[in-house]
Parts: sequence; C-alpha cells; structure tokens
Amino acid sequence: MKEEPHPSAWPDIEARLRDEAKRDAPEFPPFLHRRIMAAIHAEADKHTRPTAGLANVWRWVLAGGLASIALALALWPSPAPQRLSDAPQKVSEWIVLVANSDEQMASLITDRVLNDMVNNPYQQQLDSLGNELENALDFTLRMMPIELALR
Amino acid sequence: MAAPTQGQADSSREFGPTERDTARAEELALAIAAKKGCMESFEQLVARLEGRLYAFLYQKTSNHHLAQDLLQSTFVTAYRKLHRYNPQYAFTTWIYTIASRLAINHFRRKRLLESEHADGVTDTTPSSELIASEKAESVWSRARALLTGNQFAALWHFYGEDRNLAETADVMNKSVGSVKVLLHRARLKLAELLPTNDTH
Repeated sequence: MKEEPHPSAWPDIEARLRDEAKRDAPEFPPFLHRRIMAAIHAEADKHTRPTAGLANVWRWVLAGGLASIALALALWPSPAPQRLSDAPQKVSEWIVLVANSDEQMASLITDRVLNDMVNNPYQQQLDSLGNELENALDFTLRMMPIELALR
Repeated sequence: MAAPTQGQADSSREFGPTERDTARAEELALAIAAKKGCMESFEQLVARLEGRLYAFLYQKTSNHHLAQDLLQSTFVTAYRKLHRYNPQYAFTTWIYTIASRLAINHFRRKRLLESEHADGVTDTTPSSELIASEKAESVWSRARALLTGNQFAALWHFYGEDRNLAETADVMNKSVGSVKVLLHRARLKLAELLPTNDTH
C-alpha cells in the first residue's frame, strides 16, 4: 500500500505557496506596457498597408520585364559581326577583281565607289582595309600603261 | 484517505465573488470589440491582463527579461490571430494558452541549441551557485522543477492567482474534475519531496 504523505504537510505547503506567490510577485516594469503596445501598433500597420503589397507585385513585374529585355538584347543576333566579316572579304575580292579588270579598275578610282566600299557600313573597322586597297591600287596603276589609268 | 484540508480549502472557494464574473463579462465584451478591429478595446485587454500574465510567465521562466519578451510575443500573437478567437471561451483561457505554448516552444528551442553546442563546459561561479541555491529554496522553484506543465499551471492559477476551482478550470479549458486531480497530484509530489519541518 502506497504511503501517502502526512496530511499536516499540506496546510504548510499551501500556506507557503500563497505567501511566496505574493512575496515573490515581480514588479511590472513601467515601460513594458508602452513597449507591448508599440509592437502591436507595428503589427497593425503591417496589415493596413495594402500598397506595400501592391508595390511588391509591380516590383516583381518590372524586374521580370527588365530581365527579359536584357536577356533578349544579350541573345539577339548582332548583324555587325556578319557585315564586318563580309566587308574585308568583299574588299579583298574586289582587289583581286580590280587587279584583273581594266574597266572595273577605272570605275573604282571614282570617289563614289571607293566611299561605298570603304565608308559603308563601319568607317572605323574598314579604314585599315581601305588603306590596304589603296596600296593595292597604287601597285596596279604602276604596272598598267599610262593611257588606261588616265581614261 | 482524503486530506481534510483539501476539501475545506476547495469548498470555501467554490462560490467565487461575483466581481470575477463581471470582470469576465467585461473582458469578453472587449475581446469581441477588439475582434471587430477596435484597437482601444485590445489595449484595455492588455492593461487588464499584462500584470497577471507577467507574473505567470516569470514563475515559468524565473527570468525577468525572458518573461518580458514572452509577454510581448503573447500579445502580438494574440492580436495577429484575433480572428481565430472563439467568444464561446473565456479570453483569459485563450491568452494563457498562447503564453504557455510560447514558453514551451522557447524552452524546446533552447534545449535543441544546448544539445547542439554542448561542449561539456559548465558555467558555475560562486555567485551563480548561490543564486541557484537561493532560488531552489522557493517552493515555486521546486514546484517548477518537480511538476508537469499542467500540474504547475493548475497550482499557479489556484494558489498564485487565488482563483477558485471553476475559474482555474475555465482558464485551463479543463473540467473541474481534471483540475482537482491535477492539484491533488501536484500537492502529493510537493509533500513527498519537501521536508515537513521546512518552514521559514
């Protein structure tokens, strides 16, 4: 049979429980109520700001749009490299052709044809090639009879 | 064998003062108004309950700063979840439940952290040991160490907050019979482990 504690212990324990609860009751800090209410107001403000949520949505839409545009620009095939690669090849082809053709050599000397070849489309990139062409022309002219060059 | 003091103590407080019923009705009205969005009503509830809840949390934690943090978290959580409060139950029941759960969660997280970072080094200084021994002498400190959560809560609501059985049952959302069992078991444990001649 389980021995139960002596009943006389209980009034003592109960009295101690009540007395110590009153004696050890913590003093409520004066700042605590304001702190609690500030936290609650902050929580309330979080939920009464609908534009913040809306701004968040539009922010994501704008970011997505900008990202798409940047991606499209990055992946869009650039025509410049093709033209750049075409131009030197074309110029060298013309050099060869011109060197072997009298009539074409005569028309090449004109400013209009030379400008179309050299200045269009990229002036900077074709300047050096233009120089090469002029050198080739000079060489060819020196080799040709003077009557044809002056026609 | 039933303890004569237990029955006497309970019967003398079964019919509590009507002012407690009035207070409960007022709290219910404030809670319903707060649920509809009235901030002033919620502030009045905070003012009514913060003292009691603070003492309850301090007894649970024996730490002023922790009790303050938990008290703030309790009211913020209550405000955030006010739409879930059912006026069928007393507001004090609901808010004490929130406070208890926050305290339990805190100690669970603390135990997890301590077990992860356990390196065998114990921080004991003569002053901390003295404080620990002084605290251990308090019957409430011993109760906190010996009793389960529900037993301690029943003991606190009944003796610490001077509630009667019905009010204690109401706050804990339990039946009066369950509260009687909890109180009886709590008293038995304390009586076994506290010396009978240990009086101050």
